[in-house]
Amino acid sequence: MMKRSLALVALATGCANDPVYVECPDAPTDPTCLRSIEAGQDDGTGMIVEEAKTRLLLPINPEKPEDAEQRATRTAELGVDVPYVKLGDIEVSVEWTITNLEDIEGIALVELDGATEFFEYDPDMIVLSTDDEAPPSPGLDGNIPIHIPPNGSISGLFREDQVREASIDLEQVTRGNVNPFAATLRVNKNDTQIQPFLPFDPMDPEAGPMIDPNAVPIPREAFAGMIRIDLVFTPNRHMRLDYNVRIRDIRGEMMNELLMAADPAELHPFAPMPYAVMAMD
Amino acid sequence: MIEMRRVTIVALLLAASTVDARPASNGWYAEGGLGAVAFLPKHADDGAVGPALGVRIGRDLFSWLSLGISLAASSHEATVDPPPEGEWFQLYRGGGDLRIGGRFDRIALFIEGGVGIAIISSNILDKVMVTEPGETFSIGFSGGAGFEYQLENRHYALGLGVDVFVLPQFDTVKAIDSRLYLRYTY
Repeated sequence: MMKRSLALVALATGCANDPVYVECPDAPTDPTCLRSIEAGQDDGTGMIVEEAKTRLLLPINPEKPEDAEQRATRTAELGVDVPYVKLGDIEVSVEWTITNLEDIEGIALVELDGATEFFEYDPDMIVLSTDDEAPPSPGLDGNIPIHIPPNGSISGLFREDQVREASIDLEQVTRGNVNPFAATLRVNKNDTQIQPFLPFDPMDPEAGPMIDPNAVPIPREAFAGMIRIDLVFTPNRHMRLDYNVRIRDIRGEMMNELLMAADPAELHPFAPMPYAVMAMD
Repeated sequence: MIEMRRVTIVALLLAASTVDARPASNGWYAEGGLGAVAFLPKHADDGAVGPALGVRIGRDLFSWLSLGISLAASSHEATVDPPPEGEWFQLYRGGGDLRIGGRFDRIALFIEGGVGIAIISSNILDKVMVTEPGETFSIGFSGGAGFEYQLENRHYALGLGVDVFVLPQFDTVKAIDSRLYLRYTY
């Protein structure tokens, strides 16, 4: 009888981790959440708009009191902060389409950044060297030149495994003080822990990384998953980027039923801190 | 004129059920079939034709009338403007129906109609306003016709059915469901 009921419930609800698709609403409460962004055009003053940014905070339900209690207990046991949205609770991929609005072939780059519930990662806020010729800090993924035909469109995506890898890289940089180049250039998706390094010393940017002897390694169960997706779009012609975010709720009951149409008061109030590192002479 | 036509149809159905037809069982039955579901305008461009499977069980109340309940599922590629691209969604349907028909030797013809519910597996059609945020259920109405070929074994028949169904909560999306099925009558 129980089995029959479960089968009926399963049939009635479909698979628990069927994907949902979210995109920025027509009238977003966050003005930086833009459904489509354009760059490469004249801004009206003779200057070219080099890049455009958008970010989308995932519509995640508030944490239940019993879950918060369990999490606090686990945080005390491990000695490190255990996030509400852990790596693997939700699987996220980002699908995008670039449209060239000019009749000349162009090149475009799409960069994936984002935030966990602890920190947001913006490469512009991470300056590791005062050398003008030093490469800028990398994005978490993407930034591969893509040729877009005249008036044509190209679609692509950041797969679930790429976003998962990006989440781990973000954690390494922000909670583990790992150099962003090291974090993003290595494949870390199977890492079982993050060994924190001593914080970057802005007065001594050339110093090599040193393991923090007093820091507790962050175990994988305490890795945070990304709760905000940031995209940076850099075309060399006037182009448009449209995107949406595909989410599979693996843990279940994480995503709000109304998704982006939900009242912000009914969503979890995430407030990630900007992660900033500024090298100085 | 219309009245005359109605009388003729009823007479044909009655005659059909009394002719010396190939032996066929009557009573409880089960059907299982495979087919395809295609969306009709105005949403024909939002979802591709997709494979479908369905089961139906029921009871012949008379030789010309039966009641049944059915479950069906179909899978479709969403063909909305990208992004997303190459994404699929599933449509699950269940309900009860009434079938009226008659047999002409080996061939049985029927018309059917029913009501039930439909569930969509994702919100991918929010983009084209077929579904609204949080909406996954719809009432469903269906109607169609088909024929069956009675095999020599009195319990088995092969059938072809075509139904149109309408889902009012999903922006009144309409689709055509065609299926080949095997019927077993106990």
